[in-house]
Amino acid sequence: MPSSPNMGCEMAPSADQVLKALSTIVDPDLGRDVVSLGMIKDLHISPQGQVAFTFELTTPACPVRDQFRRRAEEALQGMEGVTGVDIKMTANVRAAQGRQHQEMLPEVRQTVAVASGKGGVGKSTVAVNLAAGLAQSGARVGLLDADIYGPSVPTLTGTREQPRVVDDKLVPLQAYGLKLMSIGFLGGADKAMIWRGPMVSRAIQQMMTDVRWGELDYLVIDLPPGTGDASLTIAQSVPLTGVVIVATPQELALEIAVKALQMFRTLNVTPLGLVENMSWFVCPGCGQEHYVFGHGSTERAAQRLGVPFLGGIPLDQQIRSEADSGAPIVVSRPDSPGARAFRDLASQVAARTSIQAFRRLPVINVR
Amino acid sequence: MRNLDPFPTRIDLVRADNVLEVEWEDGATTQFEGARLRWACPCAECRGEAGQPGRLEGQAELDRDELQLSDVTLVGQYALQIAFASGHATGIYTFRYLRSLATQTTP
Repeated sequence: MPSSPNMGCEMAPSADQVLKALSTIVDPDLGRDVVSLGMIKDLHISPQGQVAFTFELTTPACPVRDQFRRRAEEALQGMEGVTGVDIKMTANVRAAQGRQHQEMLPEVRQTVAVASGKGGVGKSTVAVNLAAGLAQSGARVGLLDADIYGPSVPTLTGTREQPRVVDDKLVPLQAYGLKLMSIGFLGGADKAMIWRGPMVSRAIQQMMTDVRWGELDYLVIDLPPGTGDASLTIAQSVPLTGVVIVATPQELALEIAVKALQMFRTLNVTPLGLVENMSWFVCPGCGQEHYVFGHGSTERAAQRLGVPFLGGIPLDQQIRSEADSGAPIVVSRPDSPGARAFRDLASQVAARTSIQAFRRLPVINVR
Repeated sequence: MRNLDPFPTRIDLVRADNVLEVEWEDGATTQFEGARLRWACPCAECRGEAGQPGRLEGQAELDRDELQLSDVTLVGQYALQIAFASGHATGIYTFRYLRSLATQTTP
């Protein structure tokens, strides 16, 4: 850390003074101040009192990014001797721990699965928009469609080409800033996969190891619905940072979502939280919000189960029509309520994975 | 995101004292006696499921080895699996649940 020479009549503050002022900013998710978390980098203080540094967040999708910048500016502008503040905001997504992960996907920092209990709750739409939302924030994102029997990613992203093979590895397709891989690209999206469990497991592993993913901050994995053989083998063969469970507010969908959650817990996959899709309907005529399937049931279930509630996504005709035409709504209609809800979701998921990466496992002693 | 699970930093199981001590991220320390944890076991067998009563319901006493702590292992990043001398080890105690059980919290 460079020290300030304190020349001239204007006394520039010392690096310690600046860091002390910045240490009043506490990361609300990690519960510690940003200085001790090592987020302040390349601090430079000119003799004239110009303070410049890099604010390194744990994810580009940080929900409090703007708040951090404002608070840092406020903290320093009030300081004696400071004539200017220049903050560069960057992000460095921390890698998940675990050896299995490094062997399987050495260049991927975080793997986030999107799962559901029953089908038809919009899991793939959530996965695509979550991935696109993370990519919009500046992260490098891949999307792996692990739904072997019902691959949706080709339709939802409007991509149908055959991936090229270079040096015995598949090159993922690219769309909306995402790297994409789906069984639908390989077998043909219109052909049914008539496979037993072991074949599914093998195909999934190949789509991870035999694909040139390159360096990724996040790999979003769209899992098949349910707790059946396919989900089970995937959850065990894919090294996951955590899983996002999608439910709709109906009692039935929620009940089954809870079962999916329990399955992942049993398999040591950390639940990142529950998302409520088709949460409310915005009437295109009067603009009023209608809670067609009831209100608050997913949030209450999350509370009961001790997992975070990651937010609700509205039942919006635009989300459906954009999805069918092959464009994630966060890209095609970024100002719509649906897109805003998906961006909020991306921030929440990014924050949860950062927490996972930051936490060290507790030390256990048995005497 | 005001919904953070509590997270432990250190877990000590002292078999001789039949005590599990958990040190939390916020600096708090909690001590759980074996009996307390056994009676609070959240597993389906103990609690009952699908309308069936659990094993602990209507039970006033448990044998000594039912209450004696024998092992503790980490489950993912969210819970502890606690084993007792009787062999009962199906209870998965989430950090959140353990924290809510905390009665003797010392600063």
